[in-house]
Amino acid sequence: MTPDAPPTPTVARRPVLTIAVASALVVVAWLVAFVTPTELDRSAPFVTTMSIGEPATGRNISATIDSVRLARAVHTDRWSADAGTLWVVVDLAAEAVRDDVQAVFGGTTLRIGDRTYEASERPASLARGGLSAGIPANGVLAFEIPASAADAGIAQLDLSIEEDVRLDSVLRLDIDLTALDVEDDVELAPTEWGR
Amino acid sequence: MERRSWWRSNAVALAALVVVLPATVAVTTVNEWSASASGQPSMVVAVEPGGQASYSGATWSDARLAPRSDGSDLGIPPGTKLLVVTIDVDFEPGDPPSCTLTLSETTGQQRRWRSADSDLVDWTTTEGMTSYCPSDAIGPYTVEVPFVLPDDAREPFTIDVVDGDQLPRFLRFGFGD
Repeated sequence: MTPDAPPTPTVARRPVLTIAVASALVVVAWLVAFVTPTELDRSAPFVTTMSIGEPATGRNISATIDSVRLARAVHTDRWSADAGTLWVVVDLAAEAVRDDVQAVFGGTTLRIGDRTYEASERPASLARGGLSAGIPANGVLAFEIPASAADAGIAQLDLSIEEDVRLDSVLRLDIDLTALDVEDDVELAPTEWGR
Repeated sequence: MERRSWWRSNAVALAALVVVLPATVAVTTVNEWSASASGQPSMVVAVEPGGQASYSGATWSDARLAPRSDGSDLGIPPGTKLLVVTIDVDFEPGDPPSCTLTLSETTGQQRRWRSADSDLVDWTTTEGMTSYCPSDAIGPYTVEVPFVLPDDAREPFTIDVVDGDQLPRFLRFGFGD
């Protein structure tokens, strides 16, 4: 492609072709970069959305939320919490689906805004308890949150077998905390097994 | 004409690719799978019904899977059933095996259960038997383990016996097939 050389048809076509192919490659490269999953995407959990009263099932966890309540105090038959905080009380049935050999209810979190609360282990509850394949455990999860936290409105309840939910199932329920009446004192039901 | 000569002049390299590419895939795959499989029960030592097997330096025989002989349900939850596994274990003096027993469905949902704990059954081990493989055993014994299953669990079942030191080998007793 000397400037002095008389342009033959082949030489004249080449720069155009080169530019076209190069541009196409740049566009393709950009597309590939654009659609490439990020590190987070590659290990993201598989989320199943729950609704109250409906069974939801993931890889090795199945749960039915019966109700969500908000209370200033909670108690069991032999334990009670001091006042001053708020409790989100979730009544539910949970079971493993395929394999209960290592099935512990390890992932029970409530996210409100930027904060994540683990289900309290102060009262007896399903939190961190064993689950059985095909035999539901009926009981509660109780989340102790600051009294002001409920003003934030939406809370996200996440349930999973492992605490580490990377590439595993998560059952998720969105809860509008402002739509719940605040009860004075709620009795936490003891865990009962079976249908 | 030009294209053909390129293929021809690179014939050796191309032929090598045909061999090397599948070989690379095969070697990495075998490497990854064997590393993964060696840490979990993946090599089955199958035992015929009524038969016996040698595993973990012990002889395992007379495996039975049955409801409790007196028919009592021992407070199991509604919608469930109790099955009891017993296996005779004999071993060289001074070298008792360890064991973890699990029960699996081999058809349907192919679920797997751990032995039932006190949440599910008010269990007391039969006099003269043991509910685990004691590391201080000095003579043959019978291990007896309860399993609580949902009513819809169906035969055929298998009982898998795993001694962590023997992985990836494990012992499998079949029932009801």
